Amino acid sequence: MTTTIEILNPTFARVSGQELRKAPFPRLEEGTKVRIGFLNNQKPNTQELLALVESGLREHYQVESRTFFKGDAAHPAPPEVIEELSRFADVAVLATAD
Amino acid sequence: MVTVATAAFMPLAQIESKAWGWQVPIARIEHPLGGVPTDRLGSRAREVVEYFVSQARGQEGGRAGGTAHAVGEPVLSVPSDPWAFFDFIQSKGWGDGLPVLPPTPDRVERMLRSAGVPADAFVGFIPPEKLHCTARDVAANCVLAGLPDAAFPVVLAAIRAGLQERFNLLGVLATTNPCATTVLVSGPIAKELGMNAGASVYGPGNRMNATIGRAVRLALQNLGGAWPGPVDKSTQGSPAKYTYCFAENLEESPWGPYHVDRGFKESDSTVTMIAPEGPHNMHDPASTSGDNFLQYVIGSMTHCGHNNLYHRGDTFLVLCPEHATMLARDGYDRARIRQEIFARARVPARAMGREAFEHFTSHWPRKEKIDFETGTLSIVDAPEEINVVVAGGPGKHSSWLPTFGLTYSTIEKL
Repeated sequence: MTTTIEILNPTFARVSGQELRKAPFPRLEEGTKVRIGFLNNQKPNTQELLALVESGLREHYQVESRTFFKGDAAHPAPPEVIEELSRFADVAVLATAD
Repeated sequence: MVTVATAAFMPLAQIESKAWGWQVPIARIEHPLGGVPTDRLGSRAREVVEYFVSQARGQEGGRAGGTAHAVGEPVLSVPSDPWAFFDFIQSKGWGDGLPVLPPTPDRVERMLRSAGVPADAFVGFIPPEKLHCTARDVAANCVLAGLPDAAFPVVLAAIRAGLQERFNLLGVLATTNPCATTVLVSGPIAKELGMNAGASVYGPGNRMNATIGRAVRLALQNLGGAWPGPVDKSTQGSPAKYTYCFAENLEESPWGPYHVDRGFKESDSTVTMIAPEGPHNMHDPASTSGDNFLQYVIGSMTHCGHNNLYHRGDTFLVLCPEHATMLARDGYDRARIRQEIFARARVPARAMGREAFEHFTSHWPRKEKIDFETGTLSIVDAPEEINVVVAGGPGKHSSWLPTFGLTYSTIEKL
């Protein structure tokens, strides 16, 4: 028979209790005008990927776009960049986690 | 918004999204992205576009689930047999591959009592999952690691140092780089605890050194959710990630305590958190002058591969007593060592290869314009970013600790 002991769970920590909020995404019909902000973390090939993504999205929507840079891939984007991005864009594309 | 993540990085993206309280649409693309010839990026771009369009049609929900953190019951019933307990912890992914000790309630309570720390004392929101962590939570991991009670305050101080913004703990824990959370202990506490600052200072052997580094790592892993593989994305990992802790050799340092150099009093004891690779040995048994030895040091630092070259940050030169004594004898103090290394430790741009050079210098530009054919790159932005510490025993082996780069060492007083 296996004997047991009690331990404190080493992974236990209190959850904040905060409900997850669903990030909003606008409904877009084909051909709609949309302003897209690309947030580039400057990892290799991210710029090239986003250029292709923009080109692909132009086949569906009338895209006005701007690219923003977050400095480096290991830190959050500066608040002023986030603010400017949110003022400009209807939708943001954040790239890339790789 | 849509976040773009390669398949290998989806779990990390999901956890970070959740930690911020959001369920964010994440477009999954084929891994890898970096290093792929640009004429093969089309399929990845199509994956993003298709996902974007599906979101715009209201067709697909966010992908913020998939937490790797096992937030379950605070108290568990586990096998008492040591081997079975080890198997249990490993099966949950809560260990590091080495045997562990059971954090029973009375054992954890004893540790907290010995330090005079209330069990519910808030420690911090440890990334990436950013749950509310208390002293009890950290102590449970310290017992798991086999930490003696007396060293608990050191681990708490190390975690507090790691949570300082400048350290960039999330970046350090999640990166593909092999950096390890490293604890440098300076001041009277090191001797009081019986830490090793001499021969084999990096290990193995000394229980305090070994378990302090291990406890910090296990606490950050188990409480922050930085599980090797899904979240800790280190490509190859490192033996240094098991434990990496050393004490300054105050008795044989010609320049006084490191923490005094950082603005503390000599009577203070401090913990410095660093995020370096494993130590890069510098074996110089032949130099008889400080000038010659420093040239050897500079030659040891001027190569590619380390992140300080690309991403800056501070770095550590850990001198063995014999090398330090020679430098001091020849008129070098910390300031002069820093100035010389800053001025002379420069890597030829050509050594990086053109693609890496163009990528790193275009995305993280330097103040000076650098020509690929003739230019050189410094390894730090300022002399102050070179930290000089004395540690180790007899012999002529010093070491350099290049870091993750996107991090600066941080220090807490005990």
